[in-house]
Amino acid sequence: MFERFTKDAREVVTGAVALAATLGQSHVGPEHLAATLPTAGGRVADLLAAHHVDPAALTAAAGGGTHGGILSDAEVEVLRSVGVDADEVLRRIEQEFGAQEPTRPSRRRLRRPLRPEVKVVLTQSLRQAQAMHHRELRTEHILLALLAQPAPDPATRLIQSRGLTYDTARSTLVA
Amino acid sequence: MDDTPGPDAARLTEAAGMRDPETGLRAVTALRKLVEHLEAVQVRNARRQGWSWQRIAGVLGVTRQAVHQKHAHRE
Repeated sequence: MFERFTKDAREVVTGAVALAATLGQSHVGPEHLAATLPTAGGRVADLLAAHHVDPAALTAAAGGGTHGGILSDAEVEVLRSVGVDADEVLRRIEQEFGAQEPTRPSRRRLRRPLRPEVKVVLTQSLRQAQAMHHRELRTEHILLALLAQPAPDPATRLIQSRGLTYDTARSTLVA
Repeated sequence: MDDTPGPDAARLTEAAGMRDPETGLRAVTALRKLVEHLEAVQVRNARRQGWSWQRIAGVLGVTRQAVHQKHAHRE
């Protein structure tokens, strides 16, 4: 499937896998693809910057919330239900030691399976490339496929909330 | 017109959460993640303060090899 991907587009996929691992998540979702786009370079990064999409906010959205990039909103909620205030623990760590890098899992656990939605987005990216008569699959096709999702992930919703919708992106990128 | 549940309602939800295996098991996984992070932060802190791997391992109750293998690459 990846043979038509440009180097940049491949890096979005490998970057998304690395990001999921860094955030301690078991699977790669479309939100990780979206959060990796600002570092992809080229027109997509410029387009995101032009719409004031903050890369850190995208990463936070992909992580399911802030919580120091360690836990998702759902995990904090489930811990609260058993009497653990994870936000308080994370707050004290930050207070004593400053903002921390999320704990990286050991190297051998860096592989992460792709959720079915990611496969759908990548397939749709290929369709976008074909529709635009491009021989290669570029990062802009991934962006368009993300924006065209019927139920967008939180990071893509953040991009859309900055006014970068499918129609806006497509008219800019086709021009 | 305040629809926030009272303390009793909240306590009831918490009790139900504890008994539901799905919630209970998810809490274990999340707590493990929090512990892993806390351990990484504290091991880094101990190393910065000049603690030996041996001494860190002693307090954590694991072997020196185990703690070194897990955390040395982060230094």
